[in-house]
Amino acid sequence: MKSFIILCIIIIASLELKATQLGNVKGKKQITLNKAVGTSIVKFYSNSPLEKFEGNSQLLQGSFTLVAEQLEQSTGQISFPVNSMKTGLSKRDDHMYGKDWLDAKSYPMVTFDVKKFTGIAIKKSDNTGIEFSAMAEGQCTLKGVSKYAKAKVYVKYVFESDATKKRAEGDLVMVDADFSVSLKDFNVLGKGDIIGSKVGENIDLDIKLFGNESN
Amino acid sequence: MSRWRILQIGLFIVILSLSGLWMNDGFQIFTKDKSEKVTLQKDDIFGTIIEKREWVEDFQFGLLPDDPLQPFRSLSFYFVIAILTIAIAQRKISKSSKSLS
Repeated sequence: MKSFIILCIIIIASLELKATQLGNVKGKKQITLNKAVGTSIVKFYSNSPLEKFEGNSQLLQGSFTLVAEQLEQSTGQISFPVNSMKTGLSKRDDHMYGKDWLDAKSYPMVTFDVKKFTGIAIKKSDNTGIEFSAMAEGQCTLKGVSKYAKAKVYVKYVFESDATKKRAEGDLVMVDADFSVSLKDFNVLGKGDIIGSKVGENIDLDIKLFGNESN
Repeated sequence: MSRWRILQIGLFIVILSLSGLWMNDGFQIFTKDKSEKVTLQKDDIFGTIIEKREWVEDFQFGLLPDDPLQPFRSLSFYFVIAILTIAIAQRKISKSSKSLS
């Protein structure tokens, strides 16, 4: 029995130590969001019985560090201002920035801190670049409340070439991420019973990030 | 034809036109003041299609107002006004036809 437990511990430890390599890339790659590479955008969707609506923010900022030898240890921080979120209805946007909703005055930014990548699967690797999917785990902060969050990500890492140099220096990166937030978890309660009738209880986020190597 | 009947027909046409406008604007529940212009572009570097999105000023007539303080920015406001006016006009028509007989 004792040896079985030790074996289990060894197996679990070896799984934990499993490192995914970013192709032949070496070292830590600092990637900073850059408009020259592409417009980073977060689209959000609300689905409720009375109304479906979507909006977006295109003022994302941040950076992330890809640890080439051990992608699991990659980290980063992405944020965007609350008052850059638009839905096509100015009055609704004003309400959204208000105290009952996202309280943009007291908590001007929405942030996502990536602490690690898990479940990495290399999808493509050739002399032009590498593509992989993973789960980005970290903390999402909204209205001053930080919660553990998990986002499904797909990363396209393109090596520097004559074509990429026309856009920006260094290797280029595009990240596609999807996750969902429950408004209640972040103390976003709205007015009356609007959440659940006119605004969805969960908001789905679809994020596209574009950046380049900045070191 | 009495002027009340002409008013009824006029209001009916107005309601039909506004309903057409509402349908044309995509059956919006709430009136919107902006619409999103989406342009698709091929991105050769990342081998994907990327979207360029921008908000443009575009009034879209909704069933309900975007601002409760401005109820006239909705189809339902004109619908209620027109139905009430049509009903009043109908009453006037009935009254005048009774007095004639």
